[in-house]
Amino acid sequence: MKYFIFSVLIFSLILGIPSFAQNPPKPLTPIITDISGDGGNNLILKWKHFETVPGILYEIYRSENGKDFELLSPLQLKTMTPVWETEKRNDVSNWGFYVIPQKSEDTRIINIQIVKPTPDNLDSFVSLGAEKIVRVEFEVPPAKKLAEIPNQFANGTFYQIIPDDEIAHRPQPSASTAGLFKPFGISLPVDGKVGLEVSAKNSEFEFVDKGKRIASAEGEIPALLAKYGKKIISIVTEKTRYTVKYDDFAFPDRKTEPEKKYTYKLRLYQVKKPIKKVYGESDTISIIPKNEVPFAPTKTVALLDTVSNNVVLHFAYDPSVAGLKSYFDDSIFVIYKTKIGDTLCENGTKINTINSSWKFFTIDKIELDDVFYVEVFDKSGLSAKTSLIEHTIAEFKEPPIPPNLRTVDYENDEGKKIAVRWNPPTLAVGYNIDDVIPNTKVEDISDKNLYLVHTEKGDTVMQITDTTSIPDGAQKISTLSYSIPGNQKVLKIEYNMIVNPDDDVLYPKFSLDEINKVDIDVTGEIKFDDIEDKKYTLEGWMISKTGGKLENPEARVEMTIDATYINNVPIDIPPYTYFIYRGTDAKDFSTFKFVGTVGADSREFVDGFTELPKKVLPEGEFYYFVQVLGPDGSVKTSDIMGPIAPKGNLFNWNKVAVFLATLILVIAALFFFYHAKKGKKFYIRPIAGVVHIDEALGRATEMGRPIIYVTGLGVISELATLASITILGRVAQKCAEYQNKLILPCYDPIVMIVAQETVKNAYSDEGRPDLYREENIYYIAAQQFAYAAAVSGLMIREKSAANFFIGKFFAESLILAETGASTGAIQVAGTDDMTQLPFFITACDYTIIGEELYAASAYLSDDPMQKGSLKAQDFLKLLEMIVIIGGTVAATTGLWWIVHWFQVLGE
Amino acid sequence: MHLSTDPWVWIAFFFTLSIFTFLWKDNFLYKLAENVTVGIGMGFWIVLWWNQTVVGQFWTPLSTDFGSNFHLIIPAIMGLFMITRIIPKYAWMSRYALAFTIGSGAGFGLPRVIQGGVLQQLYATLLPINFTSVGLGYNLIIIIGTLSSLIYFFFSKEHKGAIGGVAKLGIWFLMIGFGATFGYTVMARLSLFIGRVLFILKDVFGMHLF
Amino acid sequence: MFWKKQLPIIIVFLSGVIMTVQYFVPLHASEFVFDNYIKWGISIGIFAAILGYFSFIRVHIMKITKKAPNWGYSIVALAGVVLMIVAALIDGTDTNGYYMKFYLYICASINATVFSLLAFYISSAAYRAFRARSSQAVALLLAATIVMLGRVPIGDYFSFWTHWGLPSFYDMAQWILNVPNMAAKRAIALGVGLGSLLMTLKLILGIERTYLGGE
Repeated sequence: MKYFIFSVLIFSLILGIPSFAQNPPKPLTPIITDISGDGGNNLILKWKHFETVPGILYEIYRSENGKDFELLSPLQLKTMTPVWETEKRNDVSNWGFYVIPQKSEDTRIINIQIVKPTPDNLDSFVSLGAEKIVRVEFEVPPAKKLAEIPNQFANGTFYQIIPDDEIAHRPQPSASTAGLFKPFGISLPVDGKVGLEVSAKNSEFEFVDKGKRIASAEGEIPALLAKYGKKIISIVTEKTRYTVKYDDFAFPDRKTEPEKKYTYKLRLYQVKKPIKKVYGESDTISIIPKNEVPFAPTKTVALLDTVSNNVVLHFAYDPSVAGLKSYFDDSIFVIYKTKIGDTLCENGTKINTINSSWKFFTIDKIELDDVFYVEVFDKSGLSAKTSLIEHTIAEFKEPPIPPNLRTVDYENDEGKKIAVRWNPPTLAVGYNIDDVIPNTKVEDISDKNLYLVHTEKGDTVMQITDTTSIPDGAQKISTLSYSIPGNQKVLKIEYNMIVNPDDDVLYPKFSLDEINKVDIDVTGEIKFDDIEDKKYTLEGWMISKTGGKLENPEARVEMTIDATYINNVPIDIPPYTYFIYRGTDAKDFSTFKFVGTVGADSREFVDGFTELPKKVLPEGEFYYFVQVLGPDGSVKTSDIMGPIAPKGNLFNWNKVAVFLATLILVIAALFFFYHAKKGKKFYIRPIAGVVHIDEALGRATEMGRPIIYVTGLGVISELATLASITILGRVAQKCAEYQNKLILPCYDPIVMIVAQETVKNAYSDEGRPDLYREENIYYIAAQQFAYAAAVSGLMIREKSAANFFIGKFFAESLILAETGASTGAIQVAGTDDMTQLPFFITACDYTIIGEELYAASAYLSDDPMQKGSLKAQDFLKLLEMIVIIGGTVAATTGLWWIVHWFQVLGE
Repeated sequence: MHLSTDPWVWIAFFFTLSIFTFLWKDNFLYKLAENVTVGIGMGFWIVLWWNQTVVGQFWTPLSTDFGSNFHLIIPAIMGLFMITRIIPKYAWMSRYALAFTIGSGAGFGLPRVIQGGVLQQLYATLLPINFTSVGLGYNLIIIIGTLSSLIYFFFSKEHKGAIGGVAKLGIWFLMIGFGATFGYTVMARLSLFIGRVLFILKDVFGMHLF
Repeated sequence: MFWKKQLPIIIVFLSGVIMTVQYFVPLHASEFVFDNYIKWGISIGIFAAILGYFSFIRVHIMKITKKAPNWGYSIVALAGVVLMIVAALIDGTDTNGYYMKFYLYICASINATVFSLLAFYISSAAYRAFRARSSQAVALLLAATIVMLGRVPIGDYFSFWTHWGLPSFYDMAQWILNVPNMAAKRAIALGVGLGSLLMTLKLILGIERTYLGGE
């Protein structure tokens, strides 16, 4: 015992010593921002973590009294593996660049300037404090190298730029439209996009001409920096390492109260082990969050429809605050109508009070000199107003409210969802005619002096012969590539079944002239090969669960497909968007909150009450309405629907097929159990592998060597393992009878317990409890290959005469079977896994295949109930065969909706 | 060639070779490696079990939120019953835990096996037979193969006469299927060996041949 | 007797029926049962694991005390367990610590090597299959060979008959995998599915009781 304690102490010392002598760095103090308009409930802590600061974990601490700090949250750091670089590009000592440190507001992070002095002004730069840059680093060096010279944090992003003239002059790929080339006498056999090879832009040549340098990223084109430059982590002079790369960390504290003082500090861990912690702490910083007035939607736009005299308000916030909307504690908007002179927004007439989550609001019957303003109130009663919102004239085409708009309790759920559904079920179709094997032709047009020019309105092609008047950003086109249509075309129909669950739609069916195709798996596309150069008529419709076609006109499609040339007609979806709102009082708009949005490619919106915690169900009744937004900014609002309360369903109707199958199974089983108990004799044919178990046991007795029984890697709830335990009972009984040693190495503790119980009972039943040895049934290893290695070793050392591999096996099956075969033992294997059966079949003498494993327990026992279960199994198998034959006939005759019973409802 | 200076790599190399010696015969090195992996693997699982299961999934929920997790006391009591196996007089109490584990596992699996093991398999087998293209003609072979293999597994009738003939066809399909599975996994198994050889060549000896 | 024999069977029945019904009922209570079934299983498993570790340690200590053959290796196995526990206590379980290093460089390395032995075993298994004892074994062997060759580039290299429009090894392998192999897989899956269902039903109804033991 004392030696054990002594060795543990030495071990701990050895582990502990190297990490004692370290000075942990102090993390930078965070800057805290109080988010405005949030009721004083949110703060954001931001700080920089420079790459060369070692650390594994940040912890943020908060105190309400300045003394007792509580841990808010840990933040993991991605630790980079330290690398000491010795590449050529790291050494810049003869580049002639200097760094000039400059003060900044933060004492710990300075500003720096990179310069390349000429011999004439070098002295003056040095007098300003310029230091020669000898090295640039792109990785974090090891701690030893970092400690050699002082480290200074600096602002800015810097790159080492080594431009390659050759790369700049290499042609770059691009694309343009075939039609743009027609004015220059280039006519192509295809419409649409063609491939181009273009030169680099002038800006790139200018960038490259500046040569190799160390430069700030400010003012440079990011794409060129990425192409020719490498981001620097540290700039090293003889005296100092200036670390310029950092990660920005931000931590939101969303649980503060207004007017309460909070003090924060950071802790940066270098080592955090159970017995040893090394960390540095930042200075503390305090703040008192304020409950400021809320933000008003100052960018709200009012659009006036001159036909109906309605105004639609589109609410919007200033872009500088729009991103923080999720933090705001605003509650309601009050909308006022006033006249143009009311510049202080004090004399307006209240139109309505709505919830602040609304996106739009329609005001009807206005006068031309009406203007508006919005007052926002937050939860504590503070308010803010927009300035006057004048309307803009717009030409509206009011979008339609979809027909049959309704709310339903969502089916087959626990009572947490309500669905808003509408009609009609629609089949939207587009198509694409394409080459099967296109040939690409490449034409060299560099002599035509054509340039690809990028303008605000899009790209265009110009012919420019005067090289002095080439516009900025123009790229010379050297080659043009396009595909020449081949002889074989393929038609790809793309479709979208825009339906909701009430429509009971299964799949679409298409007919191209006389060729019919269905897409039973609803992949969204169907291909027709071997298309000729002619026009086709395509018909399409949707099939319901009862096999009939949907009759409404939108569910049918009839169109002409022109396959004489390569073309594409996209799926046409109307450009409307639906905004859904939910409220608790039909008369009070302030209770109606925005819950979600869908496009016109949907016929359903499911409200999952996602704002509630996971296990909490919504209570009470709810009302809904929908706003439809048109592409021109027009909005139409539906009537209010409801009230409706979500209810939990007692039965999931999607699983009715499984339920029916379960019923059939139970009834069949009970029928045969009943008859078995009544004494009816059932015939079971001999099962190959099972019959040879006795033979294997007999041989082991003759040889006087032990038997190894392996139950595999399954847990006790695996059925293969349970079947194995049943067979084990029989084997153990025979071992007791023949006085054979039985060894059972186990992988799972519960299987071990059950196996011990089974074997013990078998020995007792045989009248030989004295022969039972619990130490022969033991837990051998907790991992797959450790188990395989241990059992292999066991088979060789024990020189077993018979090996049984019965249960759930994985890749180790072959290792066990082959090792056992090499010892000359007789081997019987049994598993239900198709992937392991081949190995057992080749390596073992007898194999119990698949369901024979489950039949074995019935075959081996004299219990009539077991035989009854085997009869039930056979009866169900017969049913399966009848289903297969019937289903095949249905599928062959096109009655796919029958086949679908087995797929859709089983989900 | 650039020998590795990392002592851990050399330790891994030593144990790799120890296992390979098993191909020659059982020996001291293999036995050492076998017991080292058994011991270290067991220690690994004990620590993992403690951290993730005992503390993470049992102790922490009970100690931080007893109100919503108090029901975990019941399986804990059943688990303690499991420990009574050590005392032969009270070993029968372990049956409760076993009964719950097996009963709930069986009930959990029953409808899911019906859905995944029966209904979905049936759905995939319901294929149209027509000869408009070669692929669909093969559906007939798949259906015949499936039906004959199912008849092979029919336990109520002896394999004689017509049933015997169909069952024989079934076993042919099964053997071809097993052969295909065997051939399919050969390359995957060989790639495991290639992986170890690459470790030895690249990580230990620093040879970059590929 | 009730406590020893009947009550466990009642527990099996009740827990089996509740978990079966849970599948069909979408209510909140049903989700609660499902979530906690897993947690309860884990909690019971904790104690079963204790028994397993106890068994492991007991077996090895008995081997050492009785000086059974190869008892020295039992010391190695036990030392390995102790080493890992001590390393985790001192150094933590993060990737840079000794705990993970022992596991990755020793245990994982050995496991990968044992796995790689399959390359040799699969060759000897294939050799064993070559000594085909029946026509069905020949079928297994042929199918394996064709699929093996069809999955590597050298198979296409050897397929000289493709000039005459005959399928290459790759085409034949694909056909074998998609047609007879698929049929066999389906049949086994359907059969195993049914077998496991009946087994499950026997467990729930208490007909299958071997795991509970006697007395």
